[in-house]
Amino acid sequence: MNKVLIVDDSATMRKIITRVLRQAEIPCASVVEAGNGLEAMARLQSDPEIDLVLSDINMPEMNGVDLVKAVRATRAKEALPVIMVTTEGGEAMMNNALALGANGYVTKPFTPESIRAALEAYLG
Amino acid sequence: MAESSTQAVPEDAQLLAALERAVDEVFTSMVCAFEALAENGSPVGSVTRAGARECFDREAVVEFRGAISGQVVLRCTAAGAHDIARGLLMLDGETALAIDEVNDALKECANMVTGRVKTQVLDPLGAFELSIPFMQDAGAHCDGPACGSLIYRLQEGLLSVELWRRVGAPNS
Repeated sequence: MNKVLIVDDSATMRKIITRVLRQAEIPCASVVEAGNGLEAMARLQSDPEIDLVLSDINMPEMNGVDLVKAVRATRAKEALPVIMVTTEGGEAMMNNALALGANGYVTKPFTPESIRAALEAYLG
Repeated sequence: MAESSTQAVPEDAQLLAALERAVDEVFTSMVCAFEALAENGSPVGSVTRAGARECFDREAVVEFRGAISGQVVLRCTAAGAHDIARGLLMLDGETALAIDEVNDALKECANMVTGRVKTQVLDPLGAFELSIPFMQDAGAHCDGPACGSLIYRLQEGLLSVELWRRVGAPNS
């Protein structure tokens, strides 16, 4: 089973994504949360069992793009997938995130199906 | 600094049309039922419900900055803000919510609406930055002209979605 880290400065959005993961019957055993990139890095360092990261981009302290850069300094795309979940749906922003090492992205507003489609390749 | 673009800065009507599409997308897929009431009306006192004036006292704001700059503002009655929060969180009407939960939901809603507007009409103009969404005092709008407002009735309460252009910003 899988452990997913949800990174978003909105507690509302973290709750929504958690609920959507359950609704979409995505096989994750547990969900942990962080409110920005810095908190996410601390969580990743203390919890090696995290299998996948779902991250917003526009956050205080450390944004999602900088989080991807920091994660990729030590973990390959295959070792720890990072999926961006963001309102920043512009092509340039998405291409930048993918070039820096994001595995994929989902734009808000999203549906359970779009979350499932983005994650199913990574969660077995 | 915004990158240069040969694309013309959109007129207020184009911005308002993009705002309307954004509200439709966000509310239809993730928030709650809504009914459009008016465009460019005066929200305060323009609609009465059960004989009582409703006060738009909650404001969530996201600022955008680039070739044009300004704010997207979601203004709600207290009932409307609770309706949005319950819709986003998929809660029934009986569930009590803390004020922080309601404000956070309203901010996230403003964030998604502004993100859609950015993707549709701002990104083609060059690089844009969005602020972190924040709550502001009622009526404390951007120091520029309103491009327009859209007024909606939710299941409970009212919502006004507004786009303001900042005075003195590039190409404003």
